[in-house]
Amino acid sequence: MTEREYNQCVDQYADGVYRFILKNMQVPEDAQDVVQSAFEKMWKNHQDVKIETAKAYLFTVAYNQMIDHIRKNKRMTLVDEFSESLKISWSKQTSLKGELEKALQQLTPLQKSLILLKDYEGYSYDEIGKITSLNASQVKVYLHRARMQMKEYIGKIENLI
Amino acid sequence: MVDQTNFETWFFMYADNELSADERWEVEEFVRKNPSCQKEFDSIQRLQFHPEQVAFPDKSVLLADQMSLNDLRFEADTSIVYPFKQELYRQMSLGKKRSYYSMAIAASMLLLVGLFFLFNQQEQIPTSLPVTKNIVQGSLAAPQNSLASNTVPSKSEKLTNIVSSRRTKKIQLAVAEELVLQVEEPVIVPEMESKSEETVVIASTPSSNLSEEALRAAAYRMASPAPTQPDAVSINTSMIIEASAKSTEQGRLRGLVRKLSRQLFKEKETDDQKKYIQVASFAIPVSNKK
Repeated sequence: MTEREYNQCVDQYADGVYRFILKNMQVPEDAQDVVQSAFEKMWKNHQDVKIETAKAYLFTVAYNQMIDHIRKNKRMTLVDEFSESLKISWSKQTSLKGELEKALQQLTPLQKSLILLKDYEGYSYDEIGKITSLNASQVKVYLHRARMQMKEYIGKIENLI
Repeated sequence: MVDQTNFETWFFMYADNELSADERWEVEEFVRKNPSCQKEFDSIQRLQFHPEQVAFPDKSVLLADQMSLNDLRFEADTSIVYPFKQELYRQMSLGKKRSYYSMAIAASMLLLVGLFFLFNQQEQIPTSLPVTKNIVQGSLAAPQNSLASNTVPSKSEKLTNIVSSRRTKKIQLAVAEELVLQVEEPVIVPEMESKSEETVVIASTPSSNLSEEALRAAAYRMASPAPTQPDAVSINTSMIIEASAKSTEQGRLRGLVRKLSRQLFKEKETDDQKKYIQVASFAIPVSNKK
């Protein structure tokens, strides 16, 4: 990959990678750090990375760094279970999009990544498997399971409403 | 084939866009034929996320120029090491103390050797007294005229030379004391016995008459000056023994101290005119009695 091709990758994929990571981590500063680290790594290896695989390379590196970051900061994650009913009451006024967002945040980082890679980037099961170190069958099963959880979560909210 | 048992999976795959055109049509036909599944089909399709307009805040930091600048960042040069790391170890401070102690021990050993050498030097004066022994014999025999050998005059001259030499009074004293001691020794008795009864008396009892020169040398350091008469000198025996014993010890010590002070050139005086020798950090007082 030449320097020009690298800069093209920045233009084409930086937003997509950032969106994918931000949706997972929810903290813009952390997401920006992860994206920047991913591009730094690709720049260091830009002689070896081909332009055709650059997007998958970036998503793979960013995904792994995000997982590392989440593991390191796992103890900082607080699950606010007591305000669940409060959340639901507030959700009466929210749209389906908001419900989906909340449903998404109930999932694990892997489940979130599978859904976002599928819906945002349109990756196939096979491509998602390469990024997340799974095979296509696993991606299919895990993805459907994640969607079922979201569906059930949204169904509960709808029943409460 | 889509049926009542697996339609949910097909619906998910339809939502994931993992079906071919024919498969998608097949799913759509299934939903049309089974209106009860329409709600399930719609709910799964609603679960899909659509890309949002989220942009990375500042793409310029990701461009190659910026990344090239990042390459200029310094990295730790591990080849640079602190050269005096040994001095930082805690054990090395103990080592310094040890070396100090060993130096102190070495210095004290050197001092002892030096003292031993000085003592030996002091002792060498008496050991050279085989000559003086003869001198005593000669000097003792001269007034009696009983030992009129050829060697007598020359030995007497030696004694005279020794007494009148340019040595200090202390050396003379040492010689004189040794003379007295030699007089006390019975070594010369047999030689004297055969000569005369009077000589035997002289040898066995030092209080008897001695030659003027010998007595003068022997009594030089006595507290009270011995009565020196031209012919013969009568000295109290107890006085001589006491004085000689006392002066021998004092003389040796004094000689040592004087030697020390002379060699070290460090004999100093305090404000109250007390002499002392400065050896390292020790001040050895020196009696200034003469």
